[in-house]
Amino acid sequence: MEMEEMLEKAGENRDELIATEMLVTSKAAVRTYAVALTEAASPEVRDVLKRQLTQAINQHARVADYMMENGMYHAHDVKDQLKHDKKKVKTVKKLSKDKK
Amino acid sequence: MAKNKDKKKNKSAEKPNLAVHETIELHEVMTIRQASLLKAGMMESLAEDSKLREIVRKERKISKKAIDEIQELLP
Repeated sequence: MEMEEMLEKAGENRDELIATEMLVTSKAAVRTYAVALTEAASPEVRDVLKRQLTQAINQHARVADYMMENGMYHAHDVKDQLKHDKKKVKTVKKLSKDKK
Repeated sequence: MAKNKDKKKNKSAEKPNLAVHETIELHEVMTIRQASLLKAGMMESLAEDSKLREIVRKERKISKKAIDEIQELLP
C-alpha cells in the first residue's frame, strides 16, 4: 500500500505517523552523514558534509522535541514508550489491512 | 582581493577530484536525501498541525539544498 493512501486514511493518527516517519528519516540522515564524513578525503567534501550534518542534527532535535511536546514520543520513560508503541502497531496493522 | 575572488569562482566551477570511497559515500548521502525530499513532498500537504507542517516544509527545503550542494561536488 502506498504511504500516501495510508496517511490519508490515518485520521487522527496521521500527524503522529508523519512525525514518526520524519524521526526515522532524520536519524538515518545523521548516521549516514557521520559515516560519510569518516570517508571524506577532500576538504570541499568534508566542509559540505559537516555543514549538512549539523543541519541534520538540528532537524532531528526539532522532530524529537515536537513529538515529546505532543505526547507522541516518551523518550524518558521506556515503559510508557513501549505501551505507546503497542497502540501504534495496532493502528498501523489495521490501516494496512483495510485495503485488501 | 581580486585574486581571492577568482579562486573562489574556480572552486565552484571546477569539481574536486574525488576518491572512490568518497564518491560512494556521497552517493549514499544523496540517496537518503532524495528519499526524504520525496517523502516530505508527499507529507507536507497531509500534515494537519501547522507546526508539524512547518517541520516537514523545512525538511523538504534542507533536502533540496543538500542535493544541489552534493551534485556540485559529484562528477
